[in-house]
Amino acid sequence: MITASVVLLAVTSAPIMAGVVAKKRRTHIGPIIGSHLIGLPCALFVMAVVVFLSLRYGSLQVSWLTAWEAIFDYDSSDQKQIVVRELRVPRMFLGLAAGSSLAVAGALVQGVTRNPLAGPGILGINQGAAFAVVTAIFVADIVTPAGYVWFAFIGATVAAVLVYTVAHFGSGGPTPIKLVLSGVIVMALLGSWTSALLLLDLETFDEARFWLAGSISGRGTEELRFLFPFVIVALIVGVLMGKQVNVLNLGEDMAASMGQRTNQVRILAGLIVIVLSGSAVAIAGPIAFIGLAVPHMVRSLVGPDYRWILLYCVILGPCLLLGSDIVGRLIVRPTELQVGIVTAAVGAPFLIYLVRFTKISEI
Amino acid sequence: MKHDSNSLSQLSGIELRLSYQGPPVIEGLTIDLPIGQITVIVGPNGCGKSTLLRAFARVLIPDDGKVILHGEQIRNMPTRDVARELGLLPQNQRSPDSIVVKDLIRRGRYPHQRLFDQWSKKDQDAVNKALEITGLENFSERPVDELSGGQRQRVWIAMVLAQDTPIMLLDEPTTHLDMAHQIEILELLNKLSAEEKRTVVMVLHDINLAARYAANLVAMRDGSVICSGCPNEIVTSEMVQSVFNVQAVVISDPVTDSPLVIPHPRQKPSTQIG
Amino acid sequence: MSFIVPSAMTSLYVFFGLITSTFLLVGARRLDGKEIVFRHGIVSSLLQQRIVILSAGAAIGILVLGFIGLIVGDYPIPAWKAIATAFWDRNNEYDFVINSLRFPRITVAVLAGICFATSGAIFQSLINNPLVSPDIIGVNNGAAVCAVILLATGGTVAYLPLAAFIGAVLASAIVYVLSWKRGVSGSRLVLVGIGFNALLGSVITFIQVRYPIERVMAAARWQAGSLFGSSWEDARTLAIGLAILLPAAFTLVNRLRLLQFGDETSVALGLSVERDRFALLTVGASLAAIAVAVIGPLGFVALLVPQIARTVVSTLTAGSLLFTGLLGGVFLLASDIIAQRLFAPVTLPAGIVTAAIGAPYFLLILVRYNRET
Repeated sequence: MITASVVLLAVTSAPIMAGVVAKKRRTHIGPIIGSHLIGLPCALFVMAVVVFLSLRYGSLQVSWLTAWEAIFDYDSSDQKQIVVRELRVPRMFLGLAAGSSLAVAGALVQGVTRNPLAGPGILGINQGAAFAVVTAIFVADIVTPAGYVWFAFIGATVAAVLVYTVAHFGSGGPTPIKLVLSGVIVMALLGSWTSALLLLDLETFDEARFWLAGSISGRGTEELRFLFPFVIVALIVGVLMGKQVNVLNLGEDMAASMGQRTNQVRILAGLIVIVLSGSAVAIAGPIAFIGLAVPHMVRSLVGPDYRWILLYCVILGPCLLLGSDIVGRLIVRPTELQVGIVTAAVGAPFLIYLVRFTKISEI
Repeated sequence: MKHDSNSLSQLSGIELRLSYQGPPVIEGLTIDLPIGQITVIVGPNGCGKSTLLRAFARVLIPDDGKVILHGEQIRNMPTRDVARELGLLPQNQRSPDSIVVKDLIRRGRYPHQRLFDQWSKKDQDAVNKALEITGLENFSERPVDELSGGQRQRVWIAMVLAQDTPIMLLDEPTTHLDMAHQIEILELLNKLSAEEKRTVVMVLHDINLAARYAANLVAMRDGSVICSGCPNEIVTSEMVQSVFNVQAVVISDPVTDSPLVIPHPRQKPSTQIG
Repeated sequence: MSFIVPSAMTSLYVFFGLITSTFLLVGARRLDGKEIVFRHGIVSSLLQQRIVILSAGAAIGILVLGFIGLIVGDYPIPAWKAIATAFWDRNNEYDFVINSLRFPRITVAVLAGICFATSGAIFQSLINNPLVSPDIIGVNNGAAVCAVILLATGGTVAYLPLAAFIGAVLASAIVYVLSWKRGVSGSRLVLVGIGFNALLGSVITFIQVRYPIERVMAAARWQAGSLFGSSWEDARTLAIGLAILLPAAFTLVNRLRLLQFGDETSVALGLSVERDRFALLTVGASLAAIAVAVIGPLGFVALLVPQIARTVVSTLTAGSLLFTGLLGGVFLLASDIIAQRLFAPVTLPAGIVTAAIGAPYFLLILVRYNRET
């Protein structure tokens, strides 16, 4: 428990320090860009710390030396090194990928819909994946992680496309408000069907509840390997979209008068969100908190400029996810607590603290 | 500050210190607003005129000092009672989606409504009169967000009129209004002040309109009152220079005999005034 | 895997009902917006004719659906007998089914629907966001946490409503206090609500993965929201709650209207903004809390119904609030009847049906949005 507390403390205090440094600099020294750039290495440092900790800590006791050797001086006969290299390293990468994807997707969704209550889930992605997976379990008894991955991804994509299509109803194309409403429709439908299936069949519920809790423990890494390049590309494009999102946020008329093709921007953002959060839900199951809350937390640290919000989301999203994963591994040793559970428990106090003590920028 | 012993100040501010959670915008300001007259506050952008108005409307709570209404501190009075005495037209107005003109104006009657008396004859008459005065009878069923900027401004003015208060505080009431409507509204306020003895306090950005309609002109700069009094007496080119940092010639308006400010072009050779 | 097929007749009725109600809603917008002034002595009021007609229509809808609810079921009961048994004839073979099963359940559905819809209307007017429901202040998750803990640990089921109510109220209070910083602003409330809800959600998920599946299933059933086993006790609880809270809501609706203008204009018109906002949040959260305590978190009603009502009635008055409430009663009652009959003899929790049949109505709302908010 002591080690868990230390890890928790390190994970939680470091981002606060990063944030405080970024904020302080903003008010005293230099132009805004300069201060944000200073905050960046701090955030990266935090991420490095978290990455390291995720290799060192877990259900199995491993020393720093072993962790180091597993990466740089691999001895395949040492069992502990095998654990680190074969299990924890891939897990760490999954956490990085899922964390960044969810946070960036969430920021994009909030930027496009201008709704603080919207996360990547609002495009039906999580619900679509859940429905597909639960149906697969119910109908075909699919229980392998690899199976989950495919169904989740397909379900997510179909749901998101459905949301976009429904948002074209009525006039005016997929405006922010219609995207949100359309998302509610699809989420409600899929959610109710999923609940119905779960409540009708005990075995399905029993099997599905673990996937539904969200976890990054080595699920079908082989299948996911092909997703990685897409995720990387999507992340890069997503971050570069910051400027467009800023313009979009000026309002439909202003953005159009500045020459932006708002529909195309929204479609591109939607595609990125689908790739990113679809991959994330395929990897880790539905984790709602990161996409919803990390953009808010980042916003309270760096302000309303989406170029910075998106960039910091890439770094701080994984911090929260990996950090929660570490805590989940330590808190109920030797078993694990699913990361989906811990993320909200760790992140929520953070969010509330930031909301209380910093100035909130409206979306 | 001149105190006319014949007119009691109903609304005054004493040693006001006002800020927006930062450095003070106004500090140590004492000012009386005379009863039954039109007072206009003018000054360059950021001088604190809106801030002062909001403090008088008790919408902004002073860090220090007090606002006195009828001899009592305004913050100690029940806010609903104050709303029957004092109406405010704020600068930035937010209206809920798809609200209709008639409904928006009606909400101005809130301070007068009792639990079971939701739509008395007085309420109805006040709203009808407000619609008539602002020329909005034909628009009463239209959604407010379908109107032009000027029409919307008139709707808000109508709401304040429906509130029917002896004291009216208006922040830039003439924004977005075309010339005809500007004159119309100002003439109306003039009439209300003259005939019904209402106290009107306005912030105007146009010094000529201010000089024309104000009985009492207050010029502010950087959070302090530079001078105040009758426009004929205080509006001089020296005053315009010190308050607005603009060189101007002040002549007498051929129509109303009030001061007319005519600015010189700025000295930069590249500036063209066409 | 078991094959469960919806009953053909019921599906037809549902489809028919959806079409009819859509037409009614769209047509209702054409109703004359005439106003009726009521003045007598010191009492006066302004009524919109449209709202009076619509409220009457919703009330009729409740009566019709209630009637259907009495008749249909695993034991179909002839119409006249059903009414007789419900209201005056206690001594016949249908007494148990009608008076201990169906009639109380119908009453609970209507009353709970009114609670949810009114609560949702208050929250959506306070915070202008189509995703807002009483859920944001933590009512649903607060109740769920307490209920799920109780059920998972095998506690006494009799305490379930009380536990749920306490959880709902406590969670709302915590969210309110945490959002307080010289007053409660809408955006801060929303963000704190997100955080706290997520926290409660993680507790619930924790229980779902760590406890035996049977208990978890029972808890999940409660969470889906169900009117199964509704009793006259439940109806009485709801009725008392409504008797206190609805008049309070009607009294406060004027202030809610003004709060929509933003804090500054509200203060200028004589509102004590924080006090009135607190009162409104309390009434809204209490309405939802009582309903959740009795039938579980059916948040969707609170989300959907006020928005549907707004497509027909755009002003916010005591009358429109009443209409919204009655519409909620119609919606929940209809959902419950469908939940019982669609896959007969298997019953679904009403909460699932509300989401499934309610979602298409959002299309109506969608179509109306031809400009950005």
